[in-house]
Amino acid sequence: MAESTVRVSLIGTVEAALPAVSQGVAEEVVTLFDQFRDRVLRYVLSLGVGVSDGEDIVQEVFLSLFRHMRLGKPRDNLPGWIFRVAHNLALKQRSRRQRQDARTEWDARAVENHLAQVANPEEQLADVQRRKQVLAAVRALPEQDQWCLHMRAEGLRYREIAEALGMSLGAVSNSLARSLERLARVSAR
Amino acid sequence: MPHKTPHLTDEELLLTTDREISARRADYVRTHLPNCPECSARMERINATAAQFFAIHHEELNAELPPAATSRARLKAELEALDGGSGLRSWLDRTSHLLAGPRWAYALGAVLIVALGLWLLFGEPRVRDSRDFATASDSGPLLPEPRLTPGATRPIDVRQVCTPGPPDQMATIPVAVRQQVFHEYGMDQSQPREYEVDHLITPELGGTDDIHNLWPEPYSSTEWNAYVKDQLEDHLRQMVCDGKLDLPTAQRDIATNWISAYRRYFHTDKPLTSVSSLIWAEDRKPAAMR
Repeated sequence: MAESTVRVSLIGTVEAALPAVSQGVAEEVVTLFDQFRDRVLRYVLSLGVGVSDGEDIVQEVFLSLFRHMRLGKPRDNLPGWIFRVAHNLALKQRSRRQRQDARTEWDARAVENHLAQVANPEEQLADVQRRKQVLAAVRALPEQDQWCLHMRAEGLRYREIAEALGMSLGAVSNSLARSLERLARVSAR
Repeated sequence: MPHKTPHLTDEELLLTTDREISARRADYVRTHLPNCPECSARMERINATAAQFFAIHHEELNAELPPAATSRARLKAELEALDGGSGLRSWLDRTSHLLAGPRWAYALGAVLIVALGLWLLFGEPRVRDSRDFATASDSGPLLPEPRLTPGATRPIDVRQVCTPGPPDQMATIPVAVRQQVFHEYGMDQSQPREYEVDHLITPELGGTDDIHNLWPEPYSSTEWNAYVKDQLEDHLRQMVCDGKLDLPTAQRDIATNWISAYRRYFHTDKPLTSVSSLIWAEDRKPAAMR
């Protein structure tokens, strides 16, 4: 609280410096963009949003972040904040465009992409089969479990996932334990 | 034959890897896991399953990602528009983060005192293990530069180290400070996502957020990366809490050469790969080290 007060008073008493403040925040936001862009974009694509829409969402996330930071709002758990905004925008976009089938498209694209990289036909067949099984198993998970899994795949800590999805730490670990157990059973077949 | 103690749940095994488990329960995990083949196997299976899915997720979606340059330029243009076209440097914003409130004042005082203390403790500059630099040239420093990052601690006692509390260390290091760290290390052109701006002396052992305790540590581009250092930090804290190591020694060893400290405390030349391996090493240390 004290930190926020100091920060606000510093900014508030030097009105003339506001453009300079915004410029500094803008530089920070671009640095954060460099750190998080790929991770956020991969996550929104995994929710079934197309690439073009995904890039628009990433833009909006970082513009929102700029507004958030310029107002001196809390900076703790910024990864959780960034993914929460991206998650909400992606769901809204997906709903608007009625692109529920995009995830199936992504699964097919995913397998095709990998297919082109594997040389040996037998190895290719086994590998593609395994990937199909894993992707199908993920698709069969409850949606919230998929979100947790994809965020974890993007390197978020449990605490950050909890912040992003508005869940408790225990609920996140329950979800991931459940999902990984199911995937392990699929892989063992 | 049934186990004398109840098995760990999958949730506990997962939270252990993220250091999100309570200190008391963590003690139980450390004693139970190495003696329970079932739990150890389950943990290995969870880790392998996660790694398999994460690899698929990354490989496939990476193929979909357009280059970042265009969207980065677009973001900068839109930020510029929001900014009203000002081209002024934001000294105020940067300093308002660096000069934020009593915590900063407290940290600065502590840093000045402790940096001096560490300098006195270390005495003459030490010769670093040449192995630690063997692969560092292309991937950033494996060890921090002592001149830039001597380490800085706050006054703290063993009871505070071993009492679970709110995870202050989870707070993000301000971007301005991160940029300053990269700049001081001459790494302005490096990809920030490949590095963790890490505490040399972990906050759990009394390290502070001061820049003299921060350095750019590679995540995975070298064998000795940020994740490996996390293992050492956990291990040293546990040794301090078990009364096997005094806190100043733990702080000094990790600040002087964390890779040497890792080798010494884990009795290995290579980083260990999982929590169960760490516990295995802990239980098999020579008695003299306990």
